[in-house]
Amino acid sequence: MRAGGLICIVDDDEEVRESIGSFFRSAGVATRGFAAAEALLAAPELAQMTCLITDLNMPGMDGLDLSETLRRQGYAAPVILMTAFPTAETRARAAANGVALFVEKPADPEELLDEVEALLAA
Amino acid sequence: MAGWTDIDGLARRRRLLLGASLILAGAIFTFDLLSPFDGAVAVLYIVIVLLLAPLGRGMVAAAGAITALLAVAAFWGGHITGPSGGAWSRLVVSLVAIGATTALSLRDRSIRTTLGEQARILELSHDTVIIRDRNDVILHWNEGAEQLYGWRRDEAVGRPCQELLRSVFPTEEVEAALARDGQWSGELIRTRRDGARLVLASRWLVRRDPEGRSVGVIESSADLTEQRRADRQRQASEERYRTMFDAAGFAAWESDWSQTLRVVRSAAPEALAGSEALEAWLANRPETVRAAIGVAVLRTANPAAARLLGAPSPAVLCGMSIGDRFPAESLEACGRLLGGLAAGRPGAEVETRLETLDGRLVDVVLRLTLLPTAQGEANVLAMAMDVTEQNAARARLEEASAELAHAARVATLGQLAASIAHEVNQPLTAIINFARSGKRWLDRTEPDLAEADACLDRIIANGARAAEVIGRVRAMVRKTAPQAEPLDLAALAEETIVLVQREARAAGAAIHRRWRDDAPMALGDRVQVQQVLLNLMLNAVQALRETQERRREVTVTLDATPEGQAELAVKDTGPGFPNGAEDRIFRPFFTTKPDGMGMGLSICRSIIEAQGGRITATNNPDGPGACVAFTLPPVGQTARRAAELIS
Repeated sequence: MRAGGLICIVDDDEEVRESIGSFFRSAGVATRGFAAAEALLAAPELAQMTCLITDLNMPGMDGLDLSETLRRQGYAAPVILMTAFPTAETRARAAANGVALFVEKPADPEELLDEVEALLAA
Repeated sequence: MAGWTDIDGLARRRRLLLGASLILAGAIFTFDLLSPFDGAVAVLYIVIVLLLAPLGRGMVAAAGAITALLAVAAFWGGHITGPSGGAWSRLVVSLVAIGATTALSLRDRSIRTTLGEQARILELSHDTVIIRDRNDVILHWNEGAEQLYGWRRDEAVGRPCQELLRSVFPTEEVEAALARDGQWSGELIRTRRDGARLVLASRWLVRRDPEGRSVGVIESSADLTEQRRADRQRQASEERYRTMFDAAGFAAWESDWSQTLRVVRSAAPEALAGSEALEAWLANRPETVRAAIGVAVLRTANPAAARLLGAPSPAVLCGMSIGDRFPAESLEACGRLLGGLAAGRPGAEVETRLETLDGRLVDVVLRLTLLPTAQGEANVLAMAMDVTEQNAARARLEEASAELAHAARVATLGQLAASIAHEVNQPLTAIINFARSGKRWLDRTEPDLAEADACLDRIIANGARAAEVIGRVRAMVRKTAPQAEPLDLAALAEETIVLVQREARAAGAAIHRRWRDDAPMALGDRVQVQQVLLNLMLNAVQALRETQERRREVTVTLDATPEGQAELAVKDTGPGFPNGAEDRIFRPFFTTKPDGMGMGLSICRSIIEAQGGRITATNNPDGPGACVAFTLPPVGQTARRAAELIS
């Protein structure tokens, strides 16, 4: 296993979720996928999460709100935010929220993996 | 004696008197000559003179002369031998008596003639003439009085005037005037026989006897009743029209344009006098217009005019020069008004701007009418409807409409783009991820073929998903397939110019146009072609936003290509396309605007090419700025429709 712990992936698009998951698995990283932020918050695996990769725009709670909620609830795992439409506002809000990384879709999965490793090593 | 006034009666009387006189003369002569009586018998000749007096002055004079001669003749005849002193004195006495009587009779006749004429004048007068004595009893009542008051002469004479006529007049004033000046003139009210009330203008004169004592009054009165009634009616009518004028909701004022029209007629060339061309001539001569309108003076105005022109009251406007109310931009319209009136038209109407007293500008529809007046005068009635509100409302509506349409287009395109981007992004991301994944599975020291296989399956699936998105977009685009019809491109372009007028004005850009007369009609979808044109014009106006060093101009032209196609071009004097970018201009997402979506020209090309036309964009060869032009197939050629819109 290259990176330790559990990487959680939250994205309402099944294919994107599965494809990231498949890639990380092929790199030997354990992942769990969730279709919605609410599903993650309700899941028992939350306690073992070491890193979160989440889409920004989702029906229901969006990625930034999820990140804020986790912060409030005391989870320290770094958050990577993905989006196809980055705006200055969202960047600013993400930065203010302590989001570790802001990534534009489509993201190169290799780079994503490197970033995750870097974050977990820190 | 009725019989004495007719002609036969007069002639008979004449003969009678003459006959009597002759006989008497003969008798006196004979007596004088032959009688021994010592009295002055010749004095009796005066009876003849007096007898003949009614027959006229000539008769009197003749009688006097003849009887004098007779007296002398009798003297000579009777005292040939030698007249005694007594005889001489008797002759003298007789002659003096005859002379005096003749003279007195002549004077009496003159007086009687004058009196007679005066009495006839009184009868001739239409005015009423009444002579009263000291006790107000009527002595004389002329025909005018009979007709006006309704009482006949025989009914009136001898009656007290007040009882008959029931006059109403300021008694003390009249008495005082009569006592002081011997006369009075003024108005009084009397009652006619039938009870009707009369208003009269009256002159009274005191009649005096030879000692100067007042013996009554002679008066002459004229009937004012009709005149008074007409005056009142006219006044009521004037008041009615004045009320209408003042209460009118639209501004109206009357001004004197005599000088103004004189200035115009003397400044204009002879040939144009009275012609339609005068309007156009004046419209091009603001100095003449300014000079002419400067001497037009406002005379009356209604309260609505005061409100329109920002005056506290209509009185403030009176006497002002109309010229000050026309700002420079309105001189052309003013010139056309002047030209119309000077050419002899009774009225003229124009929409223009006026400047109020407090410096505001108001849009008005101004209607001028030349009022009929005396020769040489020009009274102009002006009516103004304030259309500022309407114009502003219309402008706001147009602007809102254009903005809405614009926003709708942008929103649709934006949404479209966002939706496409998102929907295509997802499968693309998945494909990349699964591909990478597959490579990793295969790169392991022990390749996991099952996993790699699974990845490839997912790649195929996501590829199909992406294609499906594209397919849906195509289907959506096909729904708005162009419907072709013959188009009058010049008219379409004019309409489109109206739509961008406000944006252009706001950007300080002027729009020029040039239509070729024989440009061919084109075949195309009206709505879509107009969308393209609108897009191009808006682009041009926006390109000029930052232009400072030269005039901001957008030029729209309609031409024909050598191949016979109609070509519409939109040129601007802005910065032009960046060098080297000409080939990229039509690519989707190309934009030089910092906040642009870059959809415009790409979509324009799609639309134009779908109609069978071509679109080109270049920088202007002969100056700054860019030019985007498109052609459309002429009516008669079939339009090619592109099957693919996104390639």
